[in-house]
Amino acid sequence: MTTPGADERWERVRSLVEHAMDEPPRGRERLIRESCADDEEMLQEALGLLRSIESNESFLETPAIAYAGRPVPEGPPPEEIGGYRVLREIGRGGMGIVYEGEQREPIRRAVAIKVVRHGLETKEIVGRFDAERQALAMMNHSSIARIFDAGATPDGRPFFVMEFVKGAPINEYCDAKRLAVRERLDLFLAVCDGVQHAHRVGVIHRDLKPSNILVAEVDGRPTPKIIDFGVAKALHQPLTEKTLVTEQGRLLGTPEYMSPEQASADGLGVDTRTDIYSLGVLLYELLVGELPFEPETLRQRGLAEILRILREEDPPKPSTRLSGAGDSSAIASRRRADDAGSLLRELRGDLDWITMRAMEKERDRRYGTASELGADVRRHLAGEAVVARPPTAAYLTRKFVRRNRALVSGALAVGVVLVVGAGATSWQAISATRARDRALEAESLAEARLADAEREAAVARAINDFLNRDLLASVNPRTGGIDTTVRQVLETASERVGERFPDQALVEASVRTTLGETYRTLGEYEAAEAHFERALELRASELDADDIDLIMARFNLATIYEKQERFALAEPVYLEVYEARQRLLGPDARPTLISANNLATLMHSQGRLDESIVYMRAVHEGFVRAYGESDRQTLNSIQNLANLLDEMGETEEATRLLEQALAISERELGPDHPDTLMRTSLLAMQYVDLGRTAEALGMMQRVVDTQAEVIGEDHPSRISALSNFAGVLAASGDRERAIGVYTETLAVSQRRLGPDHSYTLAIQGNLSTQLWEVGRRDEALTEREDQIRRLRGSLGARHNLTGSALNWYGRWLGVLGRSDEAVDALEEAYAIRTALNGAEDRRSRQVARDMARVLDRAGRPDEAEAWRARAGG
Amino acid sequence: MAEESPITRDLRAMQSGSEEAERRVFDLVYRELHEMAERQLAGERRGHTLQATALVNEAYLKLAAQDSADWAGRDQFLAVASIVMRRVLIDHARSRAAQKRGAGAAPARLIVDVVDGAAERGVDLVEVHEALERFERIDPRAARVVEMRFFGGLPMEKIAALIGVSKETVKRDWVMARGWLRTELGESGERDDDAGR
Repeated sequence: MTTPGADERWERVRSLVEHAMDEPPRGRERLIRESCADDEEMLQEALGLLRSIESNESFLETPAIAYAGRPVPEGPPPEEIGGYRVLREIGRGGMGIVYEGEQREPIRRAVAIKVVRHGLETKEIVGRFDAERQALAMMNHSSIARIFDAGATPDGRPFFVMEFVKGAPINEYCDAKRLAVRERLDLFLAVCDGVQHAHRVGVIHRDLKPSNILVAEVDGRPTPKIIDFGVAKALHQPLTEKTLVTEQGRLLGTPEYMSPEQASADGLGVDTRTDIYSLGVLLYELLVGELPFEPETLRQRGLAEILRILREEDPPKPSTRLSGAGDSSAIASRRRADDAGSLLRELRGDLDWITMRAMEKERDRRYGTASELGADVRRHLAGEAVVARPPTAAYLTRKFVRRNRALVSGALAVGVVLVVGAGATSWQAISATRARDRALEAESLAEARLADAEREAAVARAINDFLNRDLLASVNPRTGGIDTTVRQVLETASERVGERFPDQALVEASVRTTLGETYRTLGEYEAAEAHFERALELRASELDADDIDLIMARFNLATIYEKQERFALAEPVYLEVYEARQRLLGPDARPTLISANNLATLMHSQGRLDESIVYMRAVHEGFVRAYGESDRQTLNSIQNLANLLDEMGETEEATRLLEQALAISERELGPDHPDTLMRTSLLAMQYVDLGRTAEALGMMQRVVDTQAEVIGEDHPSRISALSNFAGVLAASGDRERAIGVYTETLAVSQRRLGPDHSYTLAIQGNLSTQLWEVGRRDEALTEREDQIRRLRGSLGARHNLTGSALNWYGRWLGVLGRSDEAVDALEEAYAIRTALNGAEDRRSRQVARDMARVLDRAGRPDEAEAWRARAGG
Repeated sequence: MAEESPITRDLRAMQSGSEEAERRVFDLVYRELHEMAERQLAGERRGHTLQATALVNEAYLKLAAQDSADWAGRDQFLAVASIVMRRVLIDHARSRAAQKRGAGAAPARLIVDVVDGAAERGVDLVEVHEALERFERIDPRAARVVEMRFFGGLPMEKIAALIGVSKETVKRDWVMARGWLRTELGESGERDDDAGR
């Protein structure tokens, strides 16, 4: 075999080795030695080449392009990271490494430390790592490994510290302990609860599988813990996992657990239901002991074929798999307490249906949430009819008989019960099913309508994701400050969006919607309005009048009108949106209920309490009915309803609702969750109003202490709770402690929000007032004067906070006999109050009353009389 | 009949030996592939590891959109594209390495995983590229096979058709070239620098 242009010497070496390669391996070296008897150099070269060829089958088999963007290798583990001692490496992924470590202070415990790999501390990866850390910090659930700490190494790589879970992957645990089906289902339910919790806080795992779910024994009870939660988004597949390599390229992820939508070409549109699919695969594996798609078979196919199987082929039902696979049921039963026959009986029916429903190819046909999946498993365990199965009379009867086995004693009795039971149960089931079917029908109708738009909107979503994640994520005022660069980005985006998408009206509309939402978050309503308006125009020109996206655009615009207090404009739009959504999505769909909620809030803002309460109650009932009492929005609706009732004087019912919301929150989210703390705080303030200050004090103390523990002493989220705590202390008469807490709060706020932030200035005002009340008048005046100076500088003269500060200041100056200064201050306060709220407002009249008193004391009764008239007597 | 796109015209001219056309094609394809690769690398979409062939196909469809049914032109394009792909990837690796040196970190060594959890081995793209340049001088055809397969991601059959030899020959070239490169890169000894377990 000659090669044109080839080097002659190489030619000879190559041909030698090629001949040798035709021989069986053992004879190759001998052949080469014989051929090069007289040329030692050639012999060595040829042998070197031969060994090189024989020794590495996979060298360069992975295309070069797969190497691009990969990390550099990690050195030996560091001795310590962020004060935690590093013991050993326990895993690594494409972007991060996990070490087992040890915390010594303040408590000694084993921890897992996850750190970004060397050479990968790019802005994007660090940003994503950070997003994951935040997501983890939001989660607080016994089935999810908890995060303890976070920071950065001296060379700038971020890390976070988590609970170290000492346990085995859930499938191995179940087999090692030979758990029965029921015990396996109990573990599975705990996993569902954890996944539901994560989804509720907006985290999608996307890589749920046994190796990411470890079972640890806590107080002798097996407790599954989901590890690497959400890390799937930030970190690639750990390289210790089997990774599939194909001829065309490399497929990341574990195909056995991958949902059809993850296996589809565009890779867009992965949502929480992707995790439901993976839960289905997990359930399958726990029940059968095998995966739905045989891994060996799967791996022998090409990439395209694997993806096609995942997208199109239905795996056998668990029971079919068990009975069909000959030995496998014996194998499965050997791994657990059940015998083969009873195992098969147990799987056939409900568990088959539940598993297959979770693993539906079409997302819409899966369970909508992890808690729905869990609820169906619980129904099965309780012997009730499961949702996964279309209820036939025979099925329902079987269920009824099983549930009431005690009643069914004789053959005759069976006959009677069968007839009666079938009648009654079917009727109940049918009416329930009808309601559900109607909801499903409406949903699928809406989905069908969305399908077209969805294809087009896929592009838009990609752009939006880019905007959301890369550019706008830092704008949420709850998670961080607004910096000028973000504003610049927004402005640039606003300028360009008009020309950027010349023939893609819907894409432009989506981008504008995102921009509008961001401006709305920032409180820049005019800019938001302009984007929402244009988005509406664009969608109106492209879409049917009944299109969901078009209705959404109307809704967005109405939210801006509401924020601007242009109620007359907002109301008809909300009404229209509410009616359209009722018609298109059904009365209990989330968007429908949300628009009703906004309508109610709108009426509330206008003081139309009686009208508002009707909608508000309907919204609350709708959420409870459709999503259960522990749903996040159900809880919010309770809150809204309570506020409204309180304002209507229905204090008792309002308090009861607040208590109920808190109880659910504590149960579902845990006592340390930020939402639970927020609700504790709200209820405490309610108790203050009811004069139950002692209780309120204890609650606020707990909130403040928990926050210090969970988020640290110096976190900006503590500011409002601390300030409420001080308020409760003041209300309970403990002014000295109130002053102490206000002083601490002020320091945190000045440091974290800045001395001119409106929160800081409000707290400074409260501190000043308390100082005055205990007679520390000089200090009170100093704080007040500083506050007023800063208010003028930052918020400007025309702000209610400035009005309030000047009112206090004027009143105190009057008491001190400095009448002229007092009159000046109160005049300014009055001007601000009336300009902002009108002369009839309670706050304007308060200023007038104080002025009258000052003038009385200064011996100017005529003027005082005029002001008393303004105060309204 | 639709008008020929510039790239198709250039590809044709290239076949009849126009160096000017070849340069134009190269520049155009480089720009396109570079941009596409950078975009995708920046995105790092999970489950969508870059595939050279997919990128090249996309580039071809985009560049020759008006008359994409010209399959002879497409083959010509693929041949060029693997050279371009090599350049794109090496430039990318070099710029990454430069960034890291700037940041005072370790030099860029890139890592590949191997089927079934076998030891992860490091391969430095730039080193492979430089070794391949040396190999080009002693066995140009086998070097071309490596370029098309390793950098261009083309299957054996396609390479055989493009070079005009049998598939068996391409396979032998591949085996020999890998053996040579492995020796040249000094990797025939045991080496598991990373995650060797």
